[in-house]
Amino acid sequence: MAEYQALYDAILNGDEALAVQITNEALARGADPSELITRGMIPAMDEVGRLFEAQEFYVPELLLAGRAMKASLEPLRPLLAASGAQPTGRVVLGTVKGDLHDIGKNLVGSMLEGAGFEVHDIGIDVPPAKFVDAVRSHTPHILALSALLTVTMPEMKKVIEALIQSGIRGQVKVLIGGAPVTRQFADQIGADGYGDNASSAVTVARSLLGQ
Amino acid sequence: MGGIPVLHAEGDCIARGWENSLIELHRNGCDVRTQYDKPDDPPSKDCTMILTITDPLCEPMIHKDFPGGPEQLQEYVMEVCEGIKDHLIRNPEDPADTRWEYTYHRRLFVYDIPGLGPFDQIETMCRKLAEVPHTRRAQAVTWKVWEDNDCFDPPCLQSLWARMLEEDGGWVLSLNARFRSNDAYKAAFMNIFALAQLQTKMGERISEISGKAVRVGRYCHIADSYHIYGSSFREFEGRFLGALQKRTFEQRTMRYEAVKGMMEAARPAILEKASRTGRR
Repeated sequence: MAEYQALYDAILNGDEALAVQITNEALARGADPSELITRGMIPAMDEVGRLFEAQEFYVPELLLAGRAMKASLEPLRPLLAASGAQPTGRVVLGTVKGDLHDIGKNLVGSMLEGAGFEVHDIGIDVPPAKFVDAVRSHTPHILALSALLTVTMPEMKKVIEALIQSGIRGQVKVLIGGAPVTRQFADQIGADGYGDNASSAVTVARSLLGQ
Repeated sequence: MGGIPVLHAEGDCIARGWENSLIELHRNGCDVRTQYDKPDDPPSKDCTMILTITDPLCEPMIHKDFPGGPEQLQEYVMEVCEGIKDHLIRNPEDPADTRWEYTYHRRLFVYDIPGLGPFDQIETMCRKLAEVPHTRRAQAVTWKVWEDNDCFDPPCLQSLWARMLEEDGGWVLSLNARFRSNDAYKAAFMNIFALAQLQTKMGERISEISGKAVRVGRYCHIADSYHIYGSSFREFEGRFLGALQKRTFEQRTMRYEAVKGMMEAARPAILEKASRTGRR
């Protein structure tokens, strides 16, 4: 029990080295990897998200917590794979074509990973065809699109159209976000969800999967 | 006084100076509605700001309320000082190319004029200052009259000006940076941090050329329009102003020396990412 709390605190404080040390020591003592995630890591990242949403945490604190979570997850990955454990969901994430911004996308990726999602970040300036390829190869539950510029927002619609033309629109939920993006725009282009910040993106992603 | 207010702020370190400038802007700035605010947003707060950081290398250098983490800050420093994203500048002949109009590095270090140049303005500044420390002519500009008057996104930083003074038997390098426009809440901290790093590198270069020790002196940040967008207001009032009440200055800031190792370790990944980004 104490190790879950220690891991929770280390992640909340963004202390990567300590989070990894606690994880490794817990594993050496025979701790269940799934329990470390569900009782230490995910609650910590949920609290990080809550504090960020309540405007009591800064962006660097959110990113450092995500970094600590990711690093402490590393030693668990082979054990989880061997046990057949499934992630919360699978997400392909990218910034649309013509847009070179990635901080918002990275924040969303970090928060989704913190919530137990398997995230495939395919980068920035991503053309519609590459999103289609990524949906085919990774078979995600959610495709998350980011845009920071008003001039690149229409690319989001092009990605959805490309999914339709490829006959795979029904296989994936589309979640969009970025500074100029609004819920109304999401509705207009036929996206399934809209997140107005990194933390709410997690909430929307969970709801899209019925969680 | 009529018109846009001229406000002053000062701090011993970057984090405190930037924080003081936002408090002053929020308190005494004027309300201006801009095309960037959404219909339901309040008007932007705006002023002309003259912000002095008396010791840019004094800790804590990093304020935590910026839109990134230590690695993103390192990436921005490398973008400004080393030009890792110069290849992301758009082709001006291609209207469909939505990449960047400029990078500060390209404008400062590789300022090119059709039929002339390119000019490394920073190296020229360093050489001038090494030769005649009190010169008033060591400056670099970014504006390209033939492009920027009509382009979609012209540079915000307009010029750098530097001078050296002899103090206590050694040389001290001062830097002024002038912005025509500066998003005070979302951009200014990262701008100042990167330009203070550039000031440090310039000091090292001048020292290399002249053979004399050069110390980093005060940094002066001048912004003609220093503003907080209406769209940022809810976050600014909640996160930034809220933290002034709830957290100590130490809790609102980070020491650069505490994250410098992490930032330096990120270099290879940043370079790799930059090199595969935005190629046409």
